[in-house]
Amino acid sequence: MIGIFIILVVCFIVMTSFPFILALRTPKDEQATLVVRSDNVKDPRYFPKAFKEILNKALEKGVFDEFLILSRPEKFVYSEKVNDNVIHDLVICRDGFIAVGPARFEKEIYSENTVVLDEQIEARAVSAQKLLLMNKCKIVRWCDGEKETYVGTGCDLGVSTTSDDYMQVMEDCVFHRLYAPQVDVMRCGDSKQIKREKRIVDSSILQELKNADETSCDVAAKDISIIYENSNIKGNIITKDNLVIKEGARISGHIKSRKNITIEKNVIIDGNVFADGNVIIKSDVRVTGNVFSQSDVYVGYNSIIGQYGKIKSVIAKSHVFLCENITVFGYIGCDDKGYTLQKEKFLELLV
Amino acid sequence: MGVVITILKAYFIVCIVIIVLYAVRHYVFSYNRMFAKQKISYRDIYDSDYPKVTVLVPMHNEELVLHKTLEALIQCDYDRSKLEIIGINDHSEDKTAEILDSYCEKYDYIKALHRLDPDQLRGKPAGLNEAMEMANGDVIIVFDADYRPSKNLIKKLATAFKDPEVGAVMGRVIPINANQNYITTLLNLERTGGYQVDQQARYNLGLIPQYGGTVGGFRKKVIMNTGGFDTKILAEDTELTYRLYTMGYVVMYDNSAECYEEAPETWNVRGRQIRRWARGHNEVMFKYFGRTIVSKNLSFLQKIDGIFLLMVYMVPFLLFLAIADSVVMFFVGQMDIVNALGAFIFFGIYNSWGNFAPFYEISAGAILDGLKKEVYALPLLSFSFYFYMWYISRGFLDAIVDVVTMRNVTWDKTKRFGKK
Repeated sequence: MIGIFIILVVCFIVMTSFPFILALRTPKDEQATLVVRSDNVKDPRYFPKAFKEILNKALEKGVFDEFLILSRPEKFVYSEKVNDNVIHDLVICRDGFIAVGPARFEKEIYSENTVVLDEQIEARAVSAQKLLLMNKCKIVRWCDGEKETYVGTGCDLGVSTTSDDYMQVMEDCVFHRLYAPQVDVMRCGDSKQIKREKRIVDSSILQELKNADETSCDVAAKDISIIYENSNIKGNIITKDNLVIKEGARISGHIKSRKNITIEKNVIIDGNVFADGNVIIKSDVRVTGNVFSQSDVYVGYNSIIGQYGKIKSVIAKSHVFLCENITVFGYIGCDDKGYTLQKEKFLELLV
Repeated sequence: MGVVITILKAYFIVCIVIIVLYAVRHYVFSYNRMFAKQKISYRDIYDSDYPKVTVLVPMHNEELVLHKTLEALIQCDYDRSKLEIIGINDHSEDKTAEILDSYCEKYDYIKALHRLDPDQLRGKPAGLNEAMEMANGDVIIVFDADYRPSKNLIKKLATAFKDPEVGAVMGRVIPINANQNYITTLLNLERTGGYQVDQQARYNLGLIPQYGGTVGGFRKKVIMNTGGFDTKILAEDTELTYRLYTMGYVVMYDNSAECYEEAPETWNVRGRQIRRWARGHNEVMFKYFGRTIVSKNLSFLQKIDGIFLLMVYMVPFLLFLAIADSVVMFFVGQMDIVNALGAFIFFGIYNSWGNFAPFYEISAGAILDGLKKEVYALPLLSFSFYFYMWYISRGFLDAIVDVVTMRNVTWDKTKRFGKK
C-alpha cells in the first residue's frame, strides 16, 4: 500500500514538474507579439487600389528581362486583344481590352480604359475604368470598374466586385461583396430603360417622416412584435421577439430584433435595421440606413436601401438575396454567398 | 464539534460544486469559440455618417507613455469635425500636464482637463465624470494612457452605436510587451483566453460581454442620465456593464477592434493591479448581485452568466478558505492522508489551469491566435494562480471594508514602463 502511494506521489511530481521544465526553457526572445497593423484602414476598394499602386511602382521601375517586379517578378503582355484560351501572364493595356470567350486569364487584367469580358471568360482579377462582364463570366478574386461596372446574367463575381461610382448587376449572379456608391440590380433587358435618377428617394417623404407628430413608441419596447399597417412611429424599436412591420408603416428611428424582422410592402424606415435572425424586406420598401443580419438578408422588388449621396451597407452573416429592380447605395457583403434573383425566383424563396 | 465538522464538510462540497460549474462554463465557452457559429461584429459596415465622438484619456503621471497614445490618436482616420480628444490630467506630478498642453496648442480638437484641486476626489471615475460634462460627443470612447489605438479603431468602435440596443462597445486588448519576460508572456496568454475566447463566446451566445474601461466606448447620454460613474466603485467598467444590462442595453464585443496596451512587467505591479481590480469588481458584485437576479431586462441565461461573472473575483477567496478548510479537517482527523492529498491535487490542478486563467479558454485562444511557443508557458499559470489568490483575496477583503465603512476609495495607478 505504501509502495503504491510512493509511486503515485513520484508520478505526480514528475508529471507536474515536466511541463514546468518545458515552460521555463521557452526561449523568450522568440516569442512574438501579436501583430496589430496600426495603419489599417477600411476600404471596400482595397484590392484594386493596392494592385494599382504596386503596378504603377513596378511600371516606374521598368521592365527587367520581360518581367515586371510586383510582389514577385511577373511576366506580362501589352495587348488590346489576346487569342489564346489560357493566358498565363498579366495583361496590361493602355486602351480598351476585349477578351473573347471562352478563355481563362490566370493573372490580373489591367486597363486604363474599358475592359469587356465576353461570355464564359474566367479571370483572376480585373482593374479598369469601365468594366463590362458579359453573361456567365467568372471572377476568381476581384474586379473593379473605377467609373462603371456592368455585370451580365449568371456571373460568379468572386470575392469582391466594386466601382467608385456606379454598378449594375443582372440576375442569377453570385457574389461575396459588392460596392459602389450606387448598385442597381436589374433583370436582363430592363437595364437600358432604367435611369439612375429614378432610384433617388423622394426627400420630401423623409422630411415628412421626421416632422411627424404621432409617436407610438419610444426607446425600447422590448416585447413588441407587430407594427400595424400605416402606423407612423418616431423612436427606436428594440424587441426580443420576431418583428413584423406591416404594409405602409412609416418609422423614423432604428430597429433591432433578437430574432427575425419582416418588413412588408411600401414601408419606409428612416434609420438602421439590425437583427440577430433574418431580415426580410418585401417589395417597394425604403430603408435609409444600414441593414444588418446575423443570418440572411432578403431585399425585395423595387426596394431601395440607403440614400443617394451617402454610403450605407447591407450585411449578412450567411446569405444576401437581392431581387431584381433594387438599389443599394453602398456596400453589400456576406460571409457565405450572395445572389441576385429574378422576381419570380425571389418570391419562391420567400414562400 | 460535530456541527462545526458538518459545516466544514458542507463548505468543502459547495466549493467543489462551484469549481465544477466554472469549469463547465469555461468548457462551454471554449467549445463555442472553436466549433460553433460565430456572430459577426459591425466592423464591415461602411457608412458615411458617423456619430460625434469624444475620446477620453485619463492620465496620472503618464510622461513615459502619453505622447505615444496621443500620436496614435492623431493618426486615426475619423472625421475631424466629429472628433474631440480630452486628456484628463488627474493630479499628475511629472511632465504629463506640459506634454498634454503642447498637443492642445497644436491640435484644436485636443483639449485638456487639468484636475489639480488637492481637495477634489481623485481617480478614474471622478475624472471621467468631470470630462463628460465638457465633452461634445454623443459617444464616449476611452483609452488608457498606455494604449496605442490603430488608425481605424475609433471608426470600428463608433460603428457599433448604429445598433440602438448597444449601450457600450468593447475592443480587444493585446500586450505590446508580450515577449518582455515571463509575467508579460503569461499576461499575453491570459488576455488571449479572456478576449479571443471568453468575450467572443459571450457575445456569440448573447450573454454578457464585459465593457473593460479602455479600448471601448459608451453612449454619453445613458451614463449622464443615470448620474455618471459611481465614484465609490473602483471598477467603473464592470459597474457600467451591469448598469447597461439591467437597463436593457447590451455590450457589443468586437474582436477585430484590437489595440496594444503595455502589460505590467513586475509581479509587484501586477499584484497591485489585480488587487485593485478584485476590490472594484467585488464592490460591483455587492451592488448588482440582487439586481441581476431580479432584472426584467435580462434573460435566464444572461442572469446565470451575470452571476458567474460577478463572482469571478470572489471565487479565489472561497478556494483559499476551502484549502484552509481541508487542512483543518485533516488535523481533526476527518480526512485521511490519501483524500487530503487527493483534495490538494484536485485543487492544485484546478487552481493551475481551471480558475482565473482558464486552461481551456487560453488553449483555445492560443490556437486561434496561432501562439505556438507561448503554449509551453501554460503550466506557469499555476504560479500565477497562487499569486492571484493572495492578491484577489486581499482585494475581496478591501471591498468588504469599503461597503461596510462606506469609505471613499483611492485609485492605485498601475506603474508604466514606457516600452517602445
